[in-house]
Amino acid sequence: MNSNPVDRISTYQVIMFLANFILGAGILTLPRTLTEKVGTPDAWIGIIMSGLFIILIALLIVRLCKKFPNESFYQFSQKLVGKWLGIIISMVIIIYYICLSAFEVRSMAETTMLYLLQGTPTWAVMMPFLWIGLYLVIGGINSIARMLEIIFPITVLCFLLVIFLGIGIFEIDNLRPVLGMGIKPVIKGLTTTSLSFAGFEIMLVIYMFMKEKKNASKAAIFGIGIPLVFYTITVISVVGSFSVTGVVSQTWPVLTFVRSYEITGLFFERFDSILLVIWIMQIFATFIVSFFAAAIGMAQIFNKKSFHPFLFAIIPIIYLVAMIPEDINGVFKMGDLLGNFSFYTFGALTIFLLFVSFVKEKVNGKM
Amino acid sequence: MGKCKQTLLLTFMLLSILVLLTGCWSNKPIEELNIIVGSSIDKDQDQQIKSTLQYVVPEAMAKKAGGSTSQQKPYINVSAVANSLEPAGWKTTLKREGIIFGPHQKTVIISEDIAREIPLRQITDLYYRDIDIRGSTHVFIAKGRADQTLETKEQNVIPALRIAEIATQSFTTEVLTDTTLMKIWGRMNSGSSFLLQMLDSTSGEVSFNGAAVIGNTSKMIGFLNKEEVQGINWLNGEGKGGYVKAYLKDEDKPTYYQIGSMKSKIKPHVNGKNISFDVSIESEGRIAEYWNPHLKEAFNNKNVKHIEKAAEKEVQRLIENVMKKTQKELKVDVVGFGNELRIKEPKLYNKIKNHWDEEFSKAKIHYKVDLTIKDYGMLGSKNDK
Repeated sequence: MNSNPVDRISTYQVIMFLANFILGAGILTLPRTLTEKVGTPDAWIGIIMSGLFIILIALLIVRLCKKFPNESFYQFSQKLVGKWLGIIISMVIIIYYICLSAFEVRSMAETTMLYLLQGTPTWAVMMPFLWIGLYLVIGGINSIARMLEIIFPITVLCFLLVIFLGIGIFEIDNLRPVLGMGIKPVIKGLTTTSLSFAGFEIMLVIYMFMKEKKNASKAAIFGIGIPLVFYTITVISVVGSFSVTGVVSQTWPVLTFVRSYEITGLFFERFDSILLVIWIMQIFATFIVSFFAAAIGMAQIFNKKSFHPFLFAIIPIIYLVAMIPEDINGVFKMGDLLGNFSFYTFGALTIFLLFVSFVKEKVNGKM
Repeated sequence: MGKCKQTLLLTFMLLSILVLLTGCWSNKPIEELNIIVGSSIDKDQDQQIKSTLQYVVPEAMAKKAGGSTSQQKPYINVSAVANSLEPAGWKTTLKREGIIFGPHQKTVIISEDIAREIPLRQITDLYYRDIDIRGSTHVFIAKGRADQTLETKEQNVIPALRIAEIATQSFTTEVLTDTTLMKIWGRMNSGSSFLLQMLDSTSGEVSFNGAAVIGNTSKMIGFLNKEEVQGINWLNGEGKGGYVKAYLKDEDKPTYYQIGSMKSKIKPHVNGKNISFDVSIESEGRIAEYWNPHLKEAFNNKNVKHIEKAAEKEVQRLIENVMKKTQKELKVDVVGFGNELRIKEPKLYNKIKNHWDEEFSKAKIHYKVDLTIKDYGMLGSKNDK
């Protein structure tokens, strides 16, 4: 199986896995989805609160994984809850990952067709994306990890640059008053804010590849902390520029934000296309990680040595699933569904499995 | 065998690259684009909407750079009449070849007739929805015909760009700080009133003149002249420069205070049902012109203070003047008092926000103006003899 010494990733790479996987297409709509639910300018507080909450869950996941250091979730779930139930759970999760990668591919195609390649058909945008992803994932977890290491600094720098250049249209009054309507609206929006951290559960799959397993908790904290900071900056600057009433009507608030200012005197006046080109890399990262997670899950369930055949089998499925939503509302709906699923399932599943393992240990210990 | 397979694979890959790399799938040759820099919306005689698009003519610009004088204008205005902007835009393509290309649009000018009749939110919907048009586009209201503001007799000037330049670069308090599509978006959606810069082309030349008051129905309901706009800029402290009259009696002869910086603070107070505001304005500046016949030297601080007092009185007058008009006559809050109340007392504001303009007209407002003359330029005194 894929646990020979070559397939080991460093702590830093694990952080990259988490951060890149969490940061995906969602950030482009994040300020709107949050503000819609919260209704006050305090969405950013919600982000911080739910981020800390998600870190807690991730630490529980690490706790669970530590009991089975050389097995992934797909394998140890069978040990914990029995073979068949384990396989069923794993299958559901594999389907989730396939849908997630399909969603990322589709959102990439939607935004690309919006701004960059207006006349190009969807399939022509998606195909190269899928194929290059396939090529990368064939290389295994090490190639993916190295790729993420390259992508991350580029995207982060460009994204922050583009956001901070918009400082001219930022008005602090739009974010005030802080907690003016009390903490209640923030709590109400907490589930939505948590959805944006979907992807934290990838620890269940990649833990077995970690070289220094004792650093897993640290990796989880940093891996979620990076998107946390990122999200907070984005929400603060976009809501601060458009005000609450302005942001809820924008389909892609972050894209509108970067199109709302012009910087004279720099080499470029406009940064929207840069943002999108760069952000495609980030969407690509989310896509390949979930693609990888689905394929390796299949391989482990069917106890196969290589996961390559599964990669080739999954690719057309991803394409078909990606084509299911008929329009942009369908795409958004799919995103919501996936976010909800991930948050509730992995939250509940982790606690449940942790509980089962505790009980089993107790029982075994007594015997 | 293995080698043969590899060669075949390689051949296949190279061939597919040949297919994939040749294309610019959705390319648009730049010379076929009609690059819009500005557009205007007017009312046609038969109550329809007349949309005018201003295209740049790159050839005319190129000739200018070459040195030879050409008679060709660097812009062309194309207009069409329909019941909204989208069909009007398509109609222009029946008269002129090329693709309409929006990302370089800098100005939108809406005529007063339209603004008074159709909610701004509706008339500008296309600009917000269209992916090509940027949020940094400036919005203006035209006194008289809007399409005339996009004309000029001067050569080598593109009117739409000139207007945008004035809007972004102007320092005087007689002009509103530039209002772009994105800046008014939030206010328009939350149903608050706001101001838009007005353009005046009735004299044949375009000039910035006053402001249009957009009410909470998103329609234009009134007009502020240049003096009133000055008051507005003092109230929200957004002016970057400009002048203030600093003499009280006419025989004192012109003396002018030049604004270096200004700050304003609006503090809401709630006492039971009564809402009041304290406005405190601070500014620093210098004496720009001093014609005083009696020639009191500026080296003496007492005389400087005297001028300061006069300028403060003038600012106070400007503010009270515009507040009387907006608060008592038009009954709209265009300065953003409501926003300050929202920040200070969010719960109270939430209750009254739907009839805020009405509440506002009853609010008491106290002003405090504090100007400081930092210096008086290169002249301190003058030899009188």
